[in-house]
Amino acid sequence: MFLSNSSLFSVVKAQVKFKINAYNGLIYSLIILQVLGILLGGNAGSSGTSINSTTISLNTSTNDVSFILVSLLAISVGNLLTTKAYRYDDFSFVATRLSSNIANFIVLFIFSCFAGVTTYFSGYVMRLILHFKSTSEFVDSSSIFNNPSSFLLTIVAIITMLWLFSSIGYIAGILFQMHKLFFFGAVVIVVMLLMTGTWIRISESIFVENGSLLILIMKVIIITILLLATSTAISNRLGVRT
Amino acid sequence: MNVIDCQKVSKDFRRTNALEDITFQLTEQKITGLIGRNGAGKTTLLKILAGLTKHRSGEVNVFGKSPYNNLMVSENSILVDDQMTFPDSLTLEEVLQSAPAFYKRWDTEFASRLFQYFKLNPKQQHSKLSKGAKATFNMIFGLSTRCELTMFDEPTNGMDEAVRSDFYRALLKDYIAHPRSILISSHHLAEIEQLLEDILLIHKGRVVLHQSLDEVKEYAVAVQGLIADVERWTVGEEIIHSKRIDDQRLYVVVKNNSKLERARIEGASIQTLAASEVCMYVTSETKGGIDDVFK
Amino acid sequence: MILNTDSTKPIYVQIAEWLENEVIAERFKDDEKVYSQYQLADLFNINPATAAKGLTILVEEKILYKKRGLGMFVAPEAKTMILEKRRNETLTKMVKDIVLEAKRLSVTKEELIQLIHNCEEEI
Repeated sequence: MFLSNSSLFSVVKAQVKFKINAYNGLIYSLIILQVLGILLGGNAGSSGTSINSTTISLNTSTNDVSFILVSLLAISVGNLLTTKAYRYDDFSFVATRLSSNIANFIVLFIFSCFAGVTTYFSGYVMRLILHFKSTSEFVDSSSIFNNPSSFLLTIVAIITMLWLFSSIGYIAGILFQMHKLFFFGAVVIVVMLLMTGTWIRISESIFVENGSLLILIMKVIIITILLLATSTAISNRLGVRT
Repeated sequence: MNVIDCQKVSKDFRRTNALEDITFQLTEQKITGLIGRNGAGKTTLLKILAGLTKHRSGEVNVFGKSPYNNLMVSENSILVDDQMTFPDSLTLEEVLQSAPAFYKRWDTEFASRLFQYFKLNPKQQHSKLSKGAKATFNMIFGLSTRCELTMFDEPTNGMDEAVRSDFYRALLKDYIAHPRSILISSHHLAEIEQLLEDILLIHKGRVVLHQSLDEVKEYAVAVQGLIADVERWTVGEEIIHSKRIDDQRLYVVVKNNSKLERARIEGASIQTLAASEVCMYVTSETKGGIDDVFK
Repeated sequence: MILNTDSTKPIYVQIAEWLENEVIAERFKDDEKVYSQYQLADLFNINPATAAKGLTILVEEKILYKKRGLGMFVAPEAKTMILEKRRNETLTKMVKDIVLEAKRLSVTKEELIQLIHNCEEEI
């Protein structure tokens, strides 16, 4: 009897490769959302004053819309990976629930990296478009060229935030797959947190009271890993092809 | 070493017992037929063996390991059934290309030759295939993995006659070239009988018979004759099935033993049964079969 | 090659009989190698274990002999042995049937023997 014996690492590697290859269609959704974000965010706010005959109007453009749209995409992709079709696909090949979950986290991370970087640069695309579109004077915010370290930190922050959002979608999906009641239970808890204001205190301590962006990133990464570990523990009880 | 070792395995689905008390061992490199009526628990058993679902109690070992969440078992076993899915974003060609990264013994050449022979479209998606074509693709996938434990759950459902016999032939030839343990479930024993070495007959979540095909064939015989005679010949025997042919004659299926040799000398008509008939009678709910309804 | 799957005869018996027929027809001669269990399995589309059983019967009857690592070979005198065996078996079975039928028709042993004598004379 010949039994092959691969390591968890090599199976996860094969799964990640397979998933990236199989799910690369998601890139199109990402591109569409970013184009939409640019169009909507191109003229986010304006204020103006008029002194004598000179009118000064101040237009702010931001790619926040892109970020919000991409965040929503991250949540739904996280959720998507937990649906039956996606979970069962893994088990047509070699997989355990642990390897599948790890592979999913990595895939979500890779997608977050891609989405994070493109979202960041969509801001530059927007600036470029605005340059050609209008004749106004530009007051740029910091860019790669005048502050490279802040630029890197911003990208990392966007990536970790997207990873966090996708893992929230992931855990919600797993709860829903486990039992619909768990999912609604979780929704009720979230709503309660929002209503009582506890949520604000929690999110303040996580997102606001940070000495630096680096600490925020560390916090988000830890929360994400906790969320994903919980998902794995829950999904260990889920059957396949049932 | 036993490929499969089940001890008192049970599993329930929402208060109904799918498996009650399954105990059996499967030794290396045999083709075993998992036979049973619809709802006997064949599919549930296969899913437990493949590590897809968890059993409730008892002990399951595949290659000496509990299959649920075991990477080594997943790597060396495959369950081919009609619920197998592959990503919609991949074509059949791409699915086959993805396989070698997972299955170390995957035979690319063999897979593509079967694929061409059965005239599947490489650019199609798995979910868009017809029932028969899906069954054919899944079979090709399952055979090409060359997994040490290859399991098929009703593999020929949806296949037409010609593809069925091609599949059985392909399975046999590939088994001869690459011996491995094959467990194939079916409720049409007569169709796969020739391929099998052993039969594992389960009924209502229990193992009824686990013997070689010939032993199953010889497990029971049919005795036919006048009622009084037949009753005399079979007194004290284990009656599996009995049917009144008319007012005077009786047809009885009993467990085979040497005492019946005397009945033969007395002029009893004793017939051997096909393995599929033995399985059918052993697992029938009533002693009289469908005729009981019309009484 | 097609087997009679509906037959009440087990497949391995049919395999053994087929091999015997081949020996009688001298397609396998004395001390010649016969098909392996795998060749038989492929030929008849049956499980190799079943084919092996057919070969084993013939080895037990000393119609074939085994050479370790080389395969199965036809024993010298195999053809005569098969013919003799068939003669005995078929005849015994026929006689058994005659005796049973005689019993049913309440023909006594003496009457039966007389019948056989009569037949012999006629032929």
